[in-house]
Amino acid sequence: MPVRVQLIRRHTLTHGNSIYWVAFSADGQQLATASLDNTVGLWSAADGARMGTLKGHGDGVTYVAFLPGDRLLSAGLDKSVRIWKLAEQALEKSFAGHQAYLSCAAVNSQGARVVTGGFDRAVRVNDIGSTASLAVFDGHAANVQAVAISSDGRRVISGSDDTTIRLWDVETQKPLQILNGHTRAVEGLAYGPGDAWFASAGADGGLRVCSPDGELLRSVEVPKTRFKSVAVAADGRWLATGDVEGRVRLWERETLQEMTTVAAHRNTVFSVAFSPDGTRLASAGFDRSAFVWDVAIT
Amino acid sequence: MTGQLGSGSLFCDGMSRRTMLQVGALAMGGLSLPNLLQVEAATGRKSHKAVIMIFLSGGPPHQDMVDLKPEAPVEIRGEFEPIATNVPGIEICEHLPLLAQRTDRLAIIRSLVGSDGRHAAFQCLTGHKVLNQPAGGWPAFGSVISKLKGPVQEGSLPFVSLSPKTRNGAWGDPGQPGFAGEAHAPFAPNREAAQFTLNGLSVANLQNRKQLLEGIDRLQREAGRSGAFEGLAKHYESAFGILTSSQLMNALDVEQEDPRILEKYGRGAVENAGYGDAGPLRNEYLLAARRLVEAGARVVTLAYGRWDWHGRPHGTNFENARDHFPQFDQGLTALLDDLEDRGLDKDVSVVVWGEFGRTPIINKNGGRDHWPQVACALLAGGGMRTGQVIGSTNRLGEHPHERPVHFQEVFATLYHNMGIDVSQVTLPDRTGRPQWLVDPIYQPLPELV
Repeated sequence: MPVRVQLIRRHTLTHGNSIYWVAFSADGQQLATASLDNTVGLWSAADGARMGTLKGHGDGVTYVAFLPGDRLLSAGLDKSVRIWKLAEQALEKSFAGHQAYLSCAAVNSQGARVVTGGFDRAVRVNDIGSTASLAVFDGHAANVQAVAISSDGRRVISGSDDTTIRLWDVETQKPLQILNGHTRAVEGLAYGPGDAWFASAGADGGLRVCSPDGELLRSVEVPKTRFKSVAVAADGRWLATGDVEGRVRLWERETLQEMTTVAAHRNTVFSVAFSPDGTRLASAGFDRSAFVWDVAIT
Repeated sequence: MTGQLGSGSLFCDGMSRRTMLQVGALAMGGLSLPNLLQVEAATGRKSHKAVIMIFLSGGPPHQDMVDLKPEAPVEIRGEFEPIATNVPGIEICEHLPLLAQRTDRLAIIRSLVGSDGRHAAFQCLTGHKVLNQPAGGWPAFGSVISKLKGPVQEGSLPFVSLSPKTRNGAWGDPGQPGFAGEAHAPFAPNREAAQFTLNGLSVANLQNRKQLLEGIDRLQREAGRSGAFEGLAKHYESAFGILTSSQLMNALDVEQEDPRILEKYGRGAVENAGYGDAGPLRNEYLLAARRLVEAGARVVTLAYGRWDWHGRPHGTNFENARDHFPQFDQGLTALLDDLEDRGLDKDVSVVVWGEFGRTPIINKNGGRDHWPQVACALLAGGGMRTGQVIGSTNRLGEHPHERPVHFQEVFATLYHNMGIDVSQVTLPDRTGRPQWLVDPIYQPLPELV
């Protein structure tokens, strides 16, 4: 029997301006959204109710992730990375380093390290606990648009308007690989479970799955499509993509077969995220909305 | 309209001192409750010539709205396709489908020139550039109309600006009275914040007239001791009457509108657009503008949205356009339909524009930058000959190809629509020197009048 996948919209979360990132908490009970309205929204995943708003960024917020210990990390165009105590919804600490807009970030699965990329073409890695800078990688020839970090925080990948994906070793602070598979900007990157592979999505309509060392394992190209975001389900079975036409697609990772497509947003989908148990998907867009979807597999 | 008085400290009722002073300033001069009620009773709908000016803060992309260049190179033509309109031969953006079906009611200027190149509403409000102003400063169009035409009826306000206070003050500029005099400054109910409030007081608060008047009595006593309000212009008295009149409150309170009409306009964000620096993308203000005209306003201005789309990371030109265009399409369409349905379309002119156009070449961040060389404008109503395009740009949308139209020609047309002959009328500046409303070389657009 062929598998049938459906996305059923459950909740709508709204901001006063575009939403650039959405993330589930580790228990799947909460969502956080990062918005160009300079705030982070906190939401109940159960009913979509707003639970709080974190204010403090001086420009749009581009990334948000829940951390262990009831904390949250946000990063913004004001170049700052901020750590918040969720119980008090208060700022714990912040740090900065980029010399131009901080456009993307990722936290490793242990919640210990954060990688950030910016319009200064730099990729930076910091220890979240101490805020110490662990590495600064220069090499991209244009804005960095996407980053990902391995679960142990030792490897980083970055994608850029220069169309390359670069692999970096945090411990040696050395570049490992330059991948030239995409023909337009690399807009989304995500590691699979166990860092066994990573997925990249580009403005060329390409969705690629590569080994940790950059060997192309599988790829697909969707004509007249510009991907803006990609996410990997925790079990690695599914990929989700968002594009500039507002579509959210679900893919079977093994085959890169397109399982379902939803005209989800009225504008670019900047972020997609699976819940930890894989039963829900969240999407966030330039239309000031984030949606929570049930992932129905029959 | 009121001065920047007070320190911002709060009264015990939560009303800021500044707000109270502003409201109180309107009440000075011994305006009594019977007077107020008399003013309130002065109602009655009467059609009159009026102008609604919609300022697209930041400069809309002419080549993506109404002057698409599908044959241009990819780095210029952009992401959008042109669509046919209900006027054969005229095409506009695919994301303006409702307006495309009403293009017979629009005059599309594709060759607007003379931009000052500033990020400011000033030129779209006055017709003039910022530098080298005559003594007292150029008055806004609404202030000139207020000076020359006065109120439609006793108790009505000639000039209302719905623009809120914005982080970029020049985008939220309600319009300066200049040498027309302070008495002709706009009534600007949204200046305290981007909310539908009257100098900080909500409509609901104002409806508690007794409480308000008690507050004003208290303020009068305080002011009497301080002498702070002696000599305030008489128009403040009148304005206060309007402020507290049900006519104005009703006009501003769009929730009183037929829900079907409200639905046609659609809603919008209460907050200022973009990053707090531009007017809200709020279609209720377009409806409020029509209601204000019906309540006696001759000129209503508003700043609508944030159109300064330089690109990522604040969204590409096209992401922002996909955000703004549909709402603008719905709102302006509703306004045009509404004016026609109510028989106001011959009397009420509508102008929609920004301070400049945008660069033909899309920058590396997917944005378009400032392009004062040419811009676009939409005109409607006012008895103008619509259903036409005036002017054109060259193949790449860089500069006028045919019939450049100066900002001041548009103003001359709007003055004409208000019954004012710009070749005859002058106003004295602060030195007494007569000033033409527009440079004498400019006349109303013959294509339209």
